[in-house]
Amino acid sequence: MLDLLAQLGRSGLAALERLGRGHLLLLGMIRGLPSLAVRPRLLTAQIYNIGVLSVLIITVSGLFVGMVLGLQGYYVLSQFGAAESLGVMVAASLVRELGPVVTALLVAGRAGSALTAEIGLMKATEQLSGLEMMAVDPVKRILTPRFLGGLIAMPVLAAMFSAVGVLGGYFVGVGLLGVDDGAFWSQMQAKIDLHEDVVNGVIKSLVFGLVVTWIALFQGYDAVPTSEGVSRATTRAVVHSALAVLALDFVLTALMFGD
Amino acid sequence: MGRRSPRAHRPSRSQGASAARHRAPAPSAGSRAALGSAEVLVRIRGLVFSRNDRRIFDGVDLDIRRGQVTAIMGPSGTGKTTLLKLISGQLHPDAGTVEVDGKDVHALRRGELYRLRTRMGMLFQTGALLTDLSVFDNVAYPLREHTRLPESMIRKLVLMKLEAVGLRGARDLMPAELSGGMARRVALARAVALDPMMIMYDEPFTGQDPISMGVLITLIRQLNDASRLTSIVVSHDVKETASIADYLYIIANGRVMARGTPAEVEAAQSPWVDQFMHGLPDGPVHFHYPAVRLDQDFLG
Repeated sequence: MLDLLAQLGRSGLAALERLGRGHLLLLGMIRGLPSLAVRPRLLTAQIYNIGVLSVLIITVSGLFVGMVLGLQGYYVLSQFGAAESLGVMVAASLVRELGPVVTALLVAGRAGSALTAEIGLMKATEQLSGLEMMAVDPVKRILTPRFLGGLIAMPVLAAMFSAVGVLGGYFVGVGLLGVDDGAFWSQMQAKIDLHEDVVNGVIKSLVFGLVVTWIALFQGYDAVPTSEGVSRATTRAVVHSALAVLALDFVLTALMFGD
Repeated sequence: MGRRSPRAHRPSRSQGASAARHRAPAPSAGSRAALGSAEVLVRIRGLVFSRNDRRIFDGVDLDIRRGQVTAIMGPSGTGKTTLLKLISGQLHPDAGTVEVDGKDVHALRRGELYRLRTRMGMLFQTGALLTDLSVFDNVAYPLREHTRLPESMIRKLVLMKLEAVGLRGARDLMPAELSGGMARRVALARAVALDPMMIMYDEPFTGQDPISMGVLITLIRQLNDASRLTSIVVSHDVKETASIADYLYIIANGRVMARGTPAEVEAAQSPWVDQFMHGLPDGPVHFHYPAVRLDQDFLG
């Protein structure tokens, strides 16, 4: 019994220690942000890696999610004679929830895992120590550009996801199921609020961008420098990111849309 | 971090003089204790360091003389690489001090430590080249980070450093296209790019074919002498390391087991040192891992 308690205590302390290291890394990356002003190329390269290279998976996913929303929404709404509200339903679902959340999950899977593996391998092959020995701070030079790149890329990708999703819903609802074209767009225009829906969605995707990139970078930076350690860190990055995004989505939704 | 000329930290004239007499007989263990601070570049006193409840160093005292090649040897897992990380301030000791050029490494602020590191080079076991940069860009990296030299000057300096390690023609290759020996030579060129006062070599000969090993041995000695460096070579390759070292330390079980010139260590009476220096399979360090008797194991 005492052993079990001791084990629990050790695990708790280790988790707290990791949490502390994670926050120190976040602080270090935030402190490093001004250094990017003199090396903007480091940032643009990471926006390309994290953002541009994720565009294909984001748009294809957005299209299919929008099409499914159009299909399911039509079946439900038509039962109440409200099929013309399909545009509002699709747009609200995407802009408020599915855009930021699914984009964050996809970015965690594609770019987050790649970030963790890259940083973990740089650690395992002593590249980070090599930078330290060249008097170059790896947090500033390697991690910070990736952090800001993820932060910038996420809202843009979420916007693209939502936009393509709306087109997918339009294609199914109007193109295939015969919902009125004018009603689809005019109701969407009338009911979707810039602050309530769009700005809140952008805030969500910014928060998710921060969390997903931070978790991915920390897992790589804190990885055990072996092939097995990097593999475990990559898995942890995706799992922790997904759980954090879903949990934060609930909290943010309650704060933003709760009465 | 302040930018500086790559030549701003050339060794002083006294260091140069010290380097010029590097082949003079090194002081014996007894006289070494009295070495002045001008002669000693790295001074370690009472070093204690533990990792996961395991004591790696238990009161180690060690001096690295300016201008010399000092080898630190010992069996695998005795903390030789850890010692280099302690000297470079990447790890913090539990107790004791590490002074480099008169500065207590672990009392320095981050900026001061980074300034000191621009005067220290390190050759990692894996080379530690940045895999997304070419050979040229890897060697140019510290120059671009720490100097304001124009690109034309950086190009000349990089080509000079690559010429010194015989790889000027490989400047456009990527690290993945290099052999292990070539990668270490590129890493060596990068380590000397800022003309440091000292270089630390972490197991430079591990996994090298005889030709690459011969090249590295020659390079370490020649670079030390030509560039008036101080070199610390961490290795367990006894013959190769002893052939270029002016002074040896043998570390095991958290302590310095022997110290002296290669000839002095070779002549040491300690059975442990004798076993290590001659690679004997059995001795104070047993061939067999502790176990119950063989007959008991087989007969139950």
